[in-house]
Amino acid sequence: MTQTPSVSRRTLLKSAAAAAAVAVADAGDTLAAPSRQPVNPTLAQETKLTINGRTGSNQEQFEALIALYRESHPDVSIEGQYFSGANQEYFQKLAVLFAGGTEADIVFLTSIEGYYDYAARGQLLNLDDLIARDAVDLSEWFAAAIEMDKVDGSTYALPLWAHPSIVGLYYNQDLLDAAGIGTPDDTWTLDTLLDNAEALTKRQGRAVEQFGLSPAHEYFNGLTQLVDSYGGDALSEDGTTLTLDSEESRAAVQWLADAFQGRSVSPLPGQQDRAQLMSSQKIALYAGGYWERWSARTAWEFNWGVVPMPVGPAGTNGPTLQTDMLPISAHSDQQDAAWEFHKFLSSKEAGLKMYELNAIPSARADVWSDPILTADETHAIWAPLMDAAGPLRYPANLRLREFEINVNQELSNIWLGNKDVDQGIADTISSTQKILDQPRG
Amino acid sequence: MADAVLSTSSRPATQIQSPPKKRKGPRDGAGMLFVLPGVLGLLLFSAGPLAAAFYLSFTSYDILNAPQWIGFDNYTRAFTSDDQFWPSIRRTFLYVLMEVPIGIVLSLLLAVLLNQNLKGTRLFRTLFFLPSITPAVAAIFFWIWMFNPYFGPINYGLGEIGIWGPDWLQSTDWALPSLAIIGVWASAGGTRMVIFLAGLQGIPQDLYDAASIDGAGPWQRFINITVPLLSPTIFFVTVLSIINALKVFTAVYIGTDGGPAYATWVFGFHLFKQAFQFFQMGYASALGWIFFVVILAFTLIQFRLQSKWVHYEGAD
Repeated sequence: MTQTPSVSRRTLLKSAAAAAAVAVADAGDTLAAPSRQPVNPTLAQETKLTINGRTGSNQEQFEALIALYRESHPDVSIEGQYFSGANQEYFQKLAVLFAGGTEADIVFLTSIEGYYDYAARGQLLNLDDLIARDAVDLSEWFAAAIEMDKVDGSTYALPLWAHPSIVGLYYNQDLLDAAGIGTPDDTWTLDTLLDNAEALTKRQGRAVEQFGLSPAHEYFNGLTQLVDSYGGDALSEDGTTLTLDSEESRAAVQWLADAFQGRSVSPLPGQQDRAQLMSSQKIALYAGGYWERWSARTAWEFNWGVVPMPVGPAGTNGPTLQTDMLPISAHSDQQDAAWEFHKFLSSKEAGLKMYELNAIPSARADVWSDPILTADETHAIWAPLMDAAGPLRYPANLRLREFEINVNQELSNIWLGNKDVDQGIADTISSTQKILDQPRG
Repeated sequence: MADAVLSTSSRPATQIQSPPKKRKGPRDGAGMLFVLPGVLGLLLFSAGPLAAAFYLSFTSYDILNAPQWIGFDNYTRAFTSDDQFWPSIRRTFLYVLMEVPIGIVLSLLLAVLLNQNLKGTRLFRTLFFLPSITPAVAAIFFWIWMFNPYFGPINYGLGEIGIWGPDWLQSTDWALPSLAIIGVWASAGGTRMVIFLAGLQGIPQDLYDAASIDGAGPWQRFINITVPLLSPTIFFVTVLSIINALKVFTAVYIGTDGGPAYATWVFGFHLFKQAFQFFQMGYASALGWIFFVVILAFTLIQFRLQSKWVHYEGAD
């Protein structure tokens, strides 16, 4: 009979407790994202890069760009690591990857999701020296895009692509024709828009069969641009105060309140997919972004068109630049190779390829004004908006997500008719100021 | 004396005798080795993170840089300056108040119905159980469509009978009750009902027969026999249901994103946002520990109160 080695209960518990204690004791040191040790360059035969992105159309676009890059750089292999889920899920996954030090060499980020968070926390490679070394001409990109990608004066990414936020007005021509309303043009004002939306809204008793308009109302996508079109600023220039209580800002909020409540021409904001309502012809006029062109082409089974949103009293429709980028991880052990690929991603060649792939075409003026693109009238209307777009203003303490979520949640009280405009704005400013007063996130 | 047993020999029954001391042998070591993976798993993956979270709750930790010790600041912040701390607790308990009692009553009713051995019982048992095994994401998207105030079937149906339905998930008054409806739908016919069914089948038929002979009707039998004898099961189910309901998250995350106007911003969601969107893992850890204490206290209260209404068979 084989004798089993004896392990006392005390020994067992001691060992287990010691293991747990080591895990806990180490927590303080190891909880910081570990840095990776560079591999011995002499052993590397082929340069291997990794890239994090979202599944779906982004994945297809990035894979096509990788293939294009490899045509001229066959010695570089680039592995895409994509994660499913909508924006929120992807960015949560990315946070976990960064926390574990397992993010890719190049990661997809946007100006309103993660870029400033990671740059300010030293997780992204500062490109200032590389830009100077390679004499990169930053004037090739929209100036506002370059400005926006700076954190504390340093650049952490060349913009991959940029758009002027939700300042397009998509329309269902069939519904307009049925209501005897002409195609939106530059004679429309924001007041005209609400008047026509009212004429397009169909009710059966208290029930609504068709809405005239679905406006964009969220802080970064909708509200900021609307406030701008009234000549106001949603946020003070130094990013420390919400300025929705100015006369101009208040007028913009009132316009949205009228759309949702006063004239009830818009479906209430919430989890309802307004794009889906537009697609199913329950909405006649729809405030949308550049990217909506593709779903319109593939899913809208009606005659449609897009024009810039009507200008407000300030003579603008408030285009505000938002950028997406593929910065390099500060922990990457292939920073030179990643930089070369990063430059390619922001090049004109890549920009034109992205347009071909139904992505937003770069943040370069020479791509946006390329004859191939301007020949497409659903693109052409956006080019002047890009030229006019200023940089997105964000909180000085970089707490973008807390700030945006709170503003959107608080203002919902106005859109839902729970509070009047003045009370809603006052409460929003009061609770948001607490976030803006916090130290840098 | 924990290891003392009552003697079963001819000695007087009051005499207590310790069992013969078992000699340690090599088989003890083998047993310990078999247990080791489980114990290590518990310590490393449960106790370890719990302890780590406790430590982190006293730090400022953004998950990207090393935590900085800040003492009780996170706890102070929660109780004094977090605008959503108390409201999120209130919403969470409101949700529990709406979801748990209705859910338990419905589960019990369904179990009683299925315990009648009526025709088609198996089919109905399956149908009732179906929502609990439907993937949560799919179920919530289904309910988002159902609750659509303009084009959803619920308001359409209500409109047909002359009732103007609410805005459901898009109303600050109705969003939380809507989530409770989803919660009840998902859980009423699930495990809770099965536990009740098992409990019902453990009640001796003799008691019902005797009561019937004495002239007790169905309602009297239910109140005087079923409920008392099922009370340990009801207690067990209540404790678990409250804990589960306090952790409400998925429906909020997918269905409302905490809105509208914070109407469904419950505690679990608040904690999640701090940890994974606002890069405040230290504060989220403090919230987690506060919530642990709240749940623990609530559970202990229930255990204290059980002596007033739970009837254990054989106990005086």
